Amino acid sequence: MAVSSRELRVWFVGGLSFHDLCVSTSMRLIFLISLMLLAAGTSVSQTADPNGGVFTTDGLVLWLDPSDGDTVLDASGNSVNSNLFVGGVQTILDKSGNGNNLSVSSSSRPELSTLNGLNSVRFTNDLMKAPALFGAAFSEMHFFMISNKTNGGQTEFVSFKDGAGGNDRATLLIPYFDGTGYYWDAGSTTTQRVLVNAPGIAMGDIFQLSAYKTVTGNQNGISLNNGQYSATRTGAAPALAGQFTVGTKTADKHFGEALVFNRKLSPAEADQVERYLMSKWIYLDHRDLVTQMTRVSADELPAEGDTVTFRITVANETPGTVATNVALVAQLPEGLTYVSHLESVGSYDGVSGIWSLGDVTNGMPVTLDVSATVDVGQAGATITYTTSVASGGKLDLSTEGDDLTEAIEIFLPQPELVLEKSFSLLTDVNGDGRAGFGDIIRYFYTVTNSGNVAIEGVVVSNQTNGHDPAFLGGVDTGNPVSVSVTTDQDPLGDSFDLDNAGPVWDQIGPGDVITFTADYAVQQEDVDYLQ
Amino acid sequence: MGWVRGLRCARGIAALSAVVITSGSYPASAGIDNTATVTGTPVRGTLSGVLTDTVSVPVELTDAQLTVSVKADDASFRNAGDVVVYTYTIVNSGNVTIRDIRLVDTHKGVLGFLSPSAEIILSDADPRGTSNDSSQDGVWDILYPGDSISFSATYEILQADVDSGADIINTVGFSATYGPLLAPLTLVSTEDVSETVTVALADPRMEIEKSADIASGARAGDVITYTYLVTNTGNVRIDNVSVTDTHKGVVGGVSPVGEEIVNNADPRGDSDADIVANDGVWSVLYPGDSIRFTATYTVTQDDVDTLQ
Repeated sequence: MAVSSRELRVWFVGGLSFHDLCVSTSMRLIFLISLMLLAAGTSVSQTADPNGGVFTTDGLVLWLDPSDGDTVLDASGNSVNSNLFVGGVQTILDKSGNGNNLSVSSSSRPELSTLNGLNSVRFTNDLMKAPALFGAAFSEMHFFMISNKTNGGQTEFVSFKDGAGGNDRATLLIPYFDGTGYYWDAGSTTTQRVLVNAPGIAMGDIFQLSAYKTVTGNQNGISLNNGQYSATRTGAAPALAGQFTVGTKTADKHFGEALVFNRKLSPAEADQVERYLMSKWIYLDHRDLVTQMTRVSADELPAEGDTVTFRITVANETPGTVATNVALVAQLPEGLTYVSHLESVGSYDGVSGIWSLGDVTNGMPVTLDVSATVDVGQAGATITYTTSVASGGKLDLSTEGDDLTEAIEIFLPQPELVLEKSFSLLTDVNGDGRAGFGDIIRYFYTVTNSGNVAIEGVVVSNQTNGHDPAFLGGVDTGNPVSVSVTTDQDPLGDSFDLDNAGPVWDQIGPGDVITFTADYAVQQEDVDYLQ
Repeated sequence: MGWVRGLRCARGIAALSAVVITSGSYPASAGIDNTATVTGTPVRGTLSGVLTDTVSVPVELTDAQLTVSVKADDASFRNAGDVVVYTYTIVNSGNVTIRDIRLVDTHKGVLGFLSPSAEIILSDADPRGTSNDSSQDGVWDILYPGDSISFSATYEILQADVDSGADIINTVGFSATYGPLLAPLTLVSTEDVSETVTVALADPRMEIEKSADIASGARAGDVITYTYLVTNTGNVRIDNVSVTDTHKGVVGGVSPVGEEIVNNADPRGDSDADIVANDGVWSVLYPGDSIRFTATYTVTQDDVDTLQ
């Protein structure tokens, strides 16, 4: 089924239709309005992703989807879904709506087959071509394809050919086995090849290829080399636009689906398409890389000048696979100054923040520890360190498990002590509740660390108008003196006093309470003068 | 100045004492103020919070008391010339220190007042402070609660005291200060503090010694001069002393005159004071003093005739 650039297709997972949804009338109205706006008002058409997302159709010039039986026709023009389909595949209709249908020009037709339980086309020394695909306005190409192979050998499979001479301008080779794994390789003598490392693809695996190419010059061909695209002109300017060809000279090459855009998709757009393909062809070879950022330094609330160590862990969660060419970018944010790093694999550039991991084997997570100091002026701030998703030569199926940020709050020191003073009459000879000669007043100085930092060398001094010459060791009335007696109380354990006595308490931790005491002997002068 | 008023008492009661209660004028809210300050060195940041706290412990209310007593060494039947030694005992029976204590003792003696002095410490055993006096000048400088001091004064009984027959009663007053403002001790409740000294009972007594210059063989025409030596042998002054003389002469009597002082040495009084000379009356004769009168008689024939 072809869709126009303004058409919106909606799949409902599990066969649900719009009317099947248990939504309110108002919600349905909102939904309808949304659909209408999407269909009529936007210049960027999108088609729905069966898994809940959408992908753009803007620039979609070719969409071959043999899994859609309506688009696969036999020599008589019968579709697979017609129950009249017989024989090989003569035509694969272009679902992009551009009419770039793929067809067989000879009697040798590929067979209808299945891949991942879906219809596919199996090529065995067969060839199908699309008509002129590269017009004058076609300066870029973004290409996605689903395929697999069930035997070895290096074989041309998909190519973009010069329409004039039929020369290959870009050829996609299916993997070949090098003794340890299957690779995309430029084994052909032609210069326009795709070379994409895909280690670990086993025979029969489904794989996905996606690539982008800027088409310049006479637009007569596309060169894909080492995964990097460049314009290559070969021979004279073509008289005809280039063609898209699918074919093989060996057996059992399954063609699942292909989408070609005449522009470069944004990463988000490309991700949408890839997710669509991966969700559909669930056996696509992938590497589920889980990237996690954590703080490994013990201090949960680092202060200015403290060193904080973050750990980035990348794990390949796809069993039995190795993710290759994995890299990420983790540049320190403002407020942190790089100190050092320690990577378990690869290399990290503290300036650019690029960590080139290389290979990541399933079951063998790799780590990068980055240590940095907290800059002055950051007290009370929240600094967030963010890493990009680790990506490599294979698509990362999901972001599940990724934790790309680690926010740290910078400690804002608020040292605070609260002094509360009280007294009791240790002796009260006449029982009048007042201080008389010979009575002993016991003062309690309760010091609470109500702040958030430890305070050292806590001393309580006391200024009195009293006349006890022995009080707190004082000599002259009114002079500040140090408390001479303390009672050590350490309810939380992070306070201490080495000598366990006055006048100095060595350290009091936040939330702790210590009590100083001092006794005062009431003097006759107090009674005389302090009425 | 507070005054300890005299209290008349029965003879033989040597001393009375009084507790002098005073009131002060200091703010009730005052006390022993303690302002505590806590300091420390935070490992980070600048210390803040509630860093000082003050409590005030109220001290006992002022109870300024002096217990004053006075006692004479011998308070009974004192004669003129006797010296009475008064001892004033002062105890700080309150709870505040009292300063600058001085006493004034007024009494009915001729001098009208005494100035107790010669202050000395009696007891300084109370631990509330060391009472002290910089000089023995009649003012005690500092007297702490529980301590006691004494003053002393002497009084010599005058003849007039004896003559009056009245008790010599003291009235003790004092002045003192206390507290930071040296507030004067204000008497708010009194009991008399006094000492009563009784004088000797009046014993007016005189002796007369008569002599004549012709003791025998007087003939008519002879003039006999009689001399009358009168001595005040009692303990009170005797005024208007005169001598009468009756005798067997025909005339029947003589009138002694020519009074003159013979002995005025007794310190109890100056008897040499005769208002009208030679009028036969001696104005004042103090105990121990003697005066002399004289009279003459011319012997008559009748005397010779009839007095054989």
